[in-house]
Amino acid sequence: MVQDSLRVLLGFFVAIILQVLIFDNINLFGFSCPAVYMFFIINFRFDNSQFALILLGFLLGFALDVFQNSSGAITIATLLISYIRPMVIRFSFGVIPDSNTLFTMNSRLGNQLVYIGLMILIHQFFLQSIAYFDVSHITLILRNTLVNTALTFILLLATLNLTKKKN
Amino acid sequence: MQWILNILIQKRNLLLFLFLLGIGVIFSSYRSSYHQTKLQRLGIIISGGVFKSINKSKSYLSLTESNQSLLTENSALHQELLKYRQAENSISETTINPELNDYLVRSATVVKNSYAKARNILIIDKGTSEGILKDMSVVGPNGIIGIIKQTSNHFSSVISILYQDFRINAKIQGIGAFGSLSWEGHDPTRMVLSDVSIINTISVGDTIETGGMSAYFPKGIPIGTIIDFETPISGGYYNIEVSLLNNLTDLEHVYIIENKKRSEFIDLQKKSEDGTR
Repeated sequence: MVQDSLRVLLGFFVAIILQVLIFDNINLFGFSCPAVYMFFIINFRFDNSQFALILLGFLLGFALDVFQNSSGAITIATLLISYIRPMVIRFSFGVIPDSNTLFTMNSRLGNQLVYIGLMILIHQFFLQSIAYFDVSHITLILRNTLVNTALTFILLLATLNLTKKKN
Repeated sequence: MQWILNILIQKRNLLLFLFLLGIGVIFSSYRSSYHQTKLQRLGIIISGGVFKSINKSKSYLSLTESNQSLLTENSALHQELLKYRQAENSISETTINPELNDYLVRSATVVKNSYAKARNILIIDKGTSEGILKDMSVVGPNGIIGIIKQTSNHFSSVISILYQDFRINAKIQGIGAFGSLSWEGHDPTRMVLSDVSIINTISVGDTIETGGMSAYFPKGIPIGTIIDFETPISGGYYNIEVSLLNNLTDLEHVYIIENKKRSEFIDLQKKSEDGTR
């Protein structure tokens, strides 16, 4: 139990450090920046308390906003995605997923990809909408959402494959 | 009493979510309050300290390029200086009292730069202890960068000109037509100049410079050149696209300009506005 909590905390800090030091500096096409910190929220154990996830999601976004000096968009976007994650899980895997983490999951690859893709897409859409906060910038919001989603999706899949335990 | 507790426990996720959402919204919407100042100051201190150390190691990698750009800038300044000396050869160097100059220039290093967001902020390594104050203007080797937003002891944050809702008074060099320069959020090298009346004749390649009609930037600092403009079918104003001279995606050294007469200017402006009410 203590070991699990320590692992979650470690993951939390590693997500912030990697995002701030490495991934915030990737400016593909001049505007795109992958949100690799989403790995923490996506990979949070399904049987862990949602209360803890909401709190950690908020703190994760808050820490990133402070480091990036942005207006609070990441805080709200990570909070929202942490809150609606159970709905995305139900939509992607059916009522109950067969395992509590992506690492040991036997579900079809398609379901896992839908889950990861949806989480990133919804998060990016919230993030860009709050950052621009203006309907007249809808094309910019959609462009940034799609490009960032694709970039984050590729990087997250690579990270998952690298860290996945071999059966 | 029991039922209240039951509801609280049952709906604890929703309640926590709404509570934190409230905090998040307050955090992002406060723009001029005490809390915002505190939070941003804390943010500047933390991220300034962290990014300063990262930047130190990074700057070693680009020493050659920065030296080259400093040399180019220095030579341009020397040339300017020589021109003035020639023009005013009757005044010897020693008689010029620096206290009489309207503007004081200080240099600083950028420790954190952003240009990919809708509202971009820079952090520089000079703060109140070096005499930097809110609302001073910041310029780069080739033109304007932004305005000091907040300061801590050793760091300051700068609102970049790449900041939506931020408008700068600008004019077209040689013509004197004034307009308002703003960023649309697409491209960090392009800005839009609006409110220039179509009675003025303009052409592609004309230089845009600061208008000096506000107390922020001194008059005549170059900003960019016209690369495209549209003459509207109706309405009396051009829609001008401007390419910036400064590369805001690659900034290392900037200069902070203190306008010594700014408070006098603001006082007078305020008095005149009060008088016309």
